[in-house]
Order: sequence, then C-alpha cells, then structure tokens
Amino acid sequence: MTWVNIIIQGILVGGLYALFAAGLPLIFGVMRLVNIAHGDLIVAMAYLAWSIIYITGIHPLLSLLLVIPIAMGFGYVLQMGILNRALGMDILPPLLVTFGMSVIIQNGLLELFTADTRKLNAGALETGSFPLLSGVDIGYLPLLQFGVAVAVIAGLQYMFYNTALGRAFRATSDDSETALLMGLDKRRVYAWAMALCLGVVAIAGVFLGVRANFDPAIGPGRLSFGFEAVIIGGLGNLWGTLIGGVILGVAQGIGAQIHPGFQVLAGHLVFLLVLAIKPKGLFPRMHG
Amino acid sequence: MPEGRRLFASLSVEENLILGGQVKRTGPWNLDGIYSLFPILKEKRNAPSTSLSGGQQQIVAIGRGLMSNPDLFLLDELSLGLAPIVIKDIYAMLPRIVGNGLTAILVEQDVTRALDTANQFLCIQEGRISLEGAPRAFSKDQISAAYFGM
Repeated sequence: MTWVNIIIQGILVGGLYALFAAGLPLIFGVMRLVNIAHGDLIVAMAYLAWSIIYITGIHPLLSLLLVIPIAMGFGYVLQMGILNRALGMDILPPLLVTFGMSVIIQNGLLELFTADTRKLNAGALETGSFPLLSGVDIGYLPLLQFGVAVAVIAGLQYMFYNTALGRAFRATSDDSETALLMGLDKRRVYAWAMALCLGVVAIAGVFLGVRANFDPAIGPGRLSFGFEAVIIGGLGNLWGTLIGGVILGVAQGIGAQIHPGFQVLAGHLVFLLVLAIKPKGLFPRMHG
Repeated sequence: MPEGRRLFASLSVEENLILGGQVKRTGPWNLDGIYSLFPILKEKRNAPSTSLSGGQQQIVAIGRGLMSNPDLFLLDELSLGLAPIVIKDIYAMLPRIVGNGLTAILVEQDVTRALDTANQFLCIQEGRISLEGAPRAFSKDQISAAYFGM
C-alpha cells in the first residue's frame, strides 16, 4: 500500500508542477520566447500574495482575486515595455533579457523580503485529509491543487482553440505579417499571451507558497520542473504538460522512497530518459 | 489578398475567414455571403486550411479578403501556382465579386487573362507607368514592349 500511496501523492504533486509549466508552452507557442525568469515570476507572485495577506489578513485562496489581476496587468506591461523590444529574428536577445530579469527579481526579492523563508498559511486546508483506502489519505490541499491544474489546462486549451483570443494567438504564431493585414497587432497579441501566462503564474505562486516554504532563490528550480514537465509531455500539447508534471511528481515520490536524497534527482533522470528515447515528448503536437 | 495566399496554417477554413472580418467594417460580406458564393468553403469550413487544394486555398484567401468589406480589393498574383483550369474558374468568379461599390486592383503575370477581365490596365516598369488605357486599345506587342521596356 506504501507504493500506491506514493504514486497517488506523486500524481497530486504533479498538478503543482503542471501549474509551474502551463504558461511556458503558451508563450513559446505564440511568440517563440523561452522565459528564463518564469520560475522567479512564480516566486515573486508568492511574495506578492504574502504581502497582500500580511496587510489584509485574508486567506491565500482569496488573495488570488487580487494577485491574478495584478499579475496579468504586470505581464501585459512587461511584454509591451520590455519583451516586445527583445523579440526578433534572433532567439538570443529575449533569452538574455529574461535571464537578466531572473537575476533582478531574485535580488530584488532578497532586498525587499530578506533571505528568510516565508510561507502562506491556509489554515485547516493544509492539514485536512480524507482516507481513500487504508494507508492512502488524500489531503484537501493537494487534491485542490490538482483540480486547479486540470481546470487551468482545460481553460487554456479551450481558450486556444475556441475563442477569438486563441484564434488571434494561432494566427499571429503562424504568420504575424498577414495577421497584421487582418488588423492584429502582434505586440498586443503577445502582450495578451504574457498576461494570461502571468495569470497562471499567479495561481502557481500562491499554491507554491501554501504548500511549502519559499525564499527568493528557489525560482530557477521551479523553472526546471516546469521545463521538464513541458518536454516530457511534448511541446504543443497542454494535456501532455499535465501528464509530464504527473510523471515528474511520481518519479520524485519513488526517488524519495528509495532515498530522500534521490527525490529531485529521480525526476531529472526520468526527464533525461524521455529526452533520450522520445526527444519530442511522449505526446504529439495537438491541432484543434 | 497577399501573393502566395498566406493562409493561417493552424486555423480552419472558417477561422481564416473570421479573421478576415476582424477589422469589423460593415458591408455586404459576411460568412453566409461567402459561403453562398463559394459553396465549397462551407463544405470544408472545419478543415485545416492547408488541407485544401491550391485553387480552394486561393478562394479562401479571396473570401478572407472580402470578409473585411473593403472599398478597394488588392489582389496580388491571383493565378500564382495554380493549374490553368483552376485559374479559369477563379477568373470566372471575379465579376460576381467586383461591382456593388467594390473596386479591385489586380496584379497579374497572366496578361491575357487580366486584360480579359479588366476595365482598365496599367503597365508599370521600374516604378513608372509605361502604358495605360482600356484593355483592348493596345496590341500584345505594344504591351510587351511597354512591359519589357524594349
């Protein structure tokens, strides 16, 4: 029963990794941007939530009502003000700019919030659980986390293939010059994509902060989990990203059971294995 | 209508048409209008745009242009890369599009076909108009002389 428990808990943790990852394929798909600062933005949103909660005393889940719109507005401005200027034929400038942002965010957070670890307190939600089988207890928080991940991915999927915004994303990604003939300004389309990505980042940040301690330096680690989930699942397949996160979570759970030091390593090894056997990921690119 | 059609590959036929209407100008053209003019597009509305034949793709590109309800319709290389029979069909449809306040400027290498369709023609060489007038006012030799600058 121990193993069943490990796998089920791993699946639920995978939901969090999928939340870390879900914004990445959106951004890459629409504007071919690899955002090195993605993980740091997740941590920054956790700090934003922490500050809001510190001032107002509201529940972390309620803080999302503020954190998500602030994050989306920030994403829009970030894209219009900085990232659009870096995007072009060459893939290197946006990489360098987001790498620089990563350094700035980490040090900015260190300056503002010190290196002390913080946590978002969700009260009874954190410790509550119900028994599924004997020896397998499901925590409310991991279950909620997983449910939110599924909802976010379903929402992104629907948006991308069934809405005017999604149509604009796909058209601009296909051919931004012709899209301009149709009145679609790629800078604004990109800014909307980044706003949506930051909305997901905000959700990821709050769940990250509720689940465990965080400090200014953990961003790059979250980014690597996110990247790995995307690559395992296959770029261009959002449900694949969820399954990629789940595989990562289960691998880490099994690794931790063998030896606590193997937890993160086991995830990386599975990622490398998938990269070696199926470099394009486990699931094919999706269309419509 | 851009040269080489340039449809959005990851969009369906209908989505390509809808994007053409993105500018939200009012006018006679809408999805139903396009579908009744080109029934084949209605049949293939949910197909990926690139799964269509070259001629059908050209029709999608024309429909996408019309969806913006233009006053002036610019058609760049209408016959490019299409089979002669398909070119004939597409030109046969043009009179049903032009008119009703819609003017079209057609840039075309297939001179005979273009002259048969046009009300007026211009030959531009190195940025200057070298010949202009009614399509039947000049012989083929005169036009090619103006075209090649000889």
